[in-house]
Amino acid sequence: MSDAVIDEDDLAMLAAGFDGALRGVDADAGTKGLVELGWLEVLEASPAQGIATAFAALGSAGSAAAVLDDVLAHALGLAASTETCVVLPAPGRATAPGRRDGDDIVVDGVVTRRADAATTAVVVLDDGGVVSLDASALPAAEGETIDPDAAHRRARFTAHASVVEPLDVAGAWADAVAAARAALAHQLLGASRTMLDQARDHAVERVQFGRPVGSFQAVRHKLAEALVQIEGAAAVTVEWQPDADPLLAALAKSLAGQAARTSASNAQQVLAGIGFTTDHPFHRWLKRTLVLDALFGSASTLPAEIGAELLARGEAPRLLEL
Amino acid sequence: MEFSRSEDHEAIREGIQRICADFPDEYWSEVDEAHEFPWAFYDKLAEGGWVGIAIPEEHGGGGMGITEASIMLEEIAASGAAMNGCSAIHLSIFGMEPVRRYGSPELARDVLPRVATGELHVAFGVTEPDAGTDTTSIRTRAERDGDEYVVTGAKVWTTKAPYCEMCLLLVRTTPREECEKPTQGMTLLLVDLQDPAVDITPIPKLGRNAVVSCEVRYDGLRVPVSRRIGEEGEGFRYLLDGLNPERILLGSESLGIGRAAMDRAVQYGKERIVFGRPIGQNQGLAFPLAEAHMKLHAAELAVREASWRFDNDLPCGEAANTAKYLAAEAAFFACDRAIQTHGGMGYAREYHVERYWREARLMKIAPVSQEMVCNYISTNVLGLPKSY
Repeated sequence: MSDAVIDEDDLAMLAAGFDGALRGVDADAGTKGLVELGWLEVLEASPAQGIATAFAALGSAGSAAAVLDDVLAHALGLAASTETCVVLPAPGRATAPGRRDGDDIVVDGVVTRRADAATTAVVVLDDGGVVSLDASALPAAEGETIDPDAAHRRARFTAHASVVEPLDVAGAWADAVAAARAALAHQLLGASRTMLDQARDHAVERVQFGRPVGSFQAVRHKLAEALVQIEGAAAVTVEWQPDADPLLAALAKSLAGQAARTSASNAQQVLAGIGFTTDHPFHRWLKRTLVLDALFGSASTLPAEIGAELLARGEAPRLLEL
Repeated sequence: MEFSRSEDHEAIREGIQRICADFPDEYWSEVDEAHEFPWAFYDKLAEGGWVGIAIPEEHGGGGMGITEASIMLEEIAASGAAMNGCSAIHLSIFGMEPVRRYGSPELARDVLPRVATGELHVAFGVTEPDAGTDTTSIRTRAERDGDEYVVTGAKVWTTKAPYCEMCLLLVRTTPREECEKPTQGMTLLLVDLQDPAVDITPIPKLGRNAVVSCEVRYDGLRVPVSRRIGEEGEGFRYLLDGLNPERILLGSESLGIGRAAMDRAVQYGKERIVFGRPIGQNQGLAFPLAEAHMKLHAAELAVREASWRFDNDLPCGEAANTAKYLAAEAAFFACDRAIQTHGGMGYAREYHVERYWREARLMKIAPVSQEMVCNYISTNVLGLPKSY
């Protein structure tokens, strides 16, 4: 069932607006800009379109604006708010980050930079329960990561039952995972397109042996290969809706992660020496790709999960009617 | 470390190349399509004493090592004979090692000289429909009855069975459940294949069709105890000795096929003119061939190290497995790029690269799959916990 309520022209305008709000500003300004343009309202009214547009823009602009929390909150049936952060699974995992241990809640997950400004942190437990607690209970960063701008940090802590509030939510963790995977897939593809553009521009401008290096097959084929993978992943990702088979989101995330790895690797090879410096902005997208791929299941780990699901179902389901 | 080529090895290469010159690609294409055993080729090799190259001199063989055998097989494959040529003689080269090492002197004297002359063809029966990778799960049973064993069961992928007088057969003399360890209770017997109690059925397959592989059913075959190799229950241990050399030899065969594919691909790349220039001038074709060449070279070094270690009585499990893995990958990649370089003609029988591709593909599965090699390396070399 489609929830596409925004028509093509309006969607294009929204995309342009989001892009403008994110380019050349810091992450917090980016978050503010998206919210002012109506991100939370679009998420509510047409989640698939809103997520696709916002996260493609985030990926493309290389912005670390924190709106993934809103995607999770919305999927859980909570009112999305910039005051709320949602604890993500531990790196490389997709299981709920919290569990009960007697009277305690033990948490092992990740929080985005949303946690810095939030007042409330939401934790989903592995028994299906959901609790909220004061965001000040979240621990400080454990150390630096490869992508400090993303400002994700590990959140490993124990909270006593007396400081948490149980929440009655309408949505399930599985829905939140699917929505997050779709969002991250869009973001990975946006980042991939930017890296490909950077490499393509270089291939056109850089002249060696009297011709642009892009005229050599070894170079242009690498760019073509990246685009083929991006488009393949996009064809799946763009079909995601909140009521889709959760397998679709897993596929999208896996394929987008693979496309991003290929795009990063091939773009880096084409950019050659200059791409290895921090003078060229490419490195920022490369590092962001590593962080995004690792969240909610990577291109390495998702195939095993998808395979196990196919075996459990005893069939390879047709996820899209073309 | 020493990388110079020995004169003896060059002599082997030249000797084989001379014989193979009389058996060009067209010969192999014909026997492959007709599913006919390459007798003319086999007889020529046997005549030259090549079949017994690695059988001890005391039994009428050449007394050479795995290194020499692997060079011979590589050259056979490289001539364009590929696996059809190699599998015609492969088992005679080293498959009888358990007989030589653990069999009675009488048995060795009886069979080895005839294998060395090429007169006696012997097959190898280990794999079963329900026991491929998992050898200890074989169910072919041998029950002792007086001074005979009575064999009942079925084997699959027995190469050359219809032409073989005998078969080196791995059987269970004690059921798995009754053994302390699953690797116990198996016995090696040298059985007669041309016996009414044996039923041989060829398996239709993708490639290497001059040398048939068969399903073989044993229905109460009586085998004299004198045909048992070594001790009852020790068969698996005897077999293990032969596994590393087998990997090394198949690695060399892969190298040879890779060379054959590269020769044709490079030639075609130089001759075929499209858009007014040789297609080999296109990086899209030249670079993958360069890559294939380098991968084959790296695989060759792995094969040479493994064969050197074996011939010097050094442990060579890691080296032999690595060699087989790398050579199989490199050969198939080279064949695949050879087809791609030939464009439409790569798909035509006439250019032979499709035959090399069909045959190279086999080495990713046999004698042991690439996956099982990774299991070996990850478990036995890297010390990671066993996954199965």
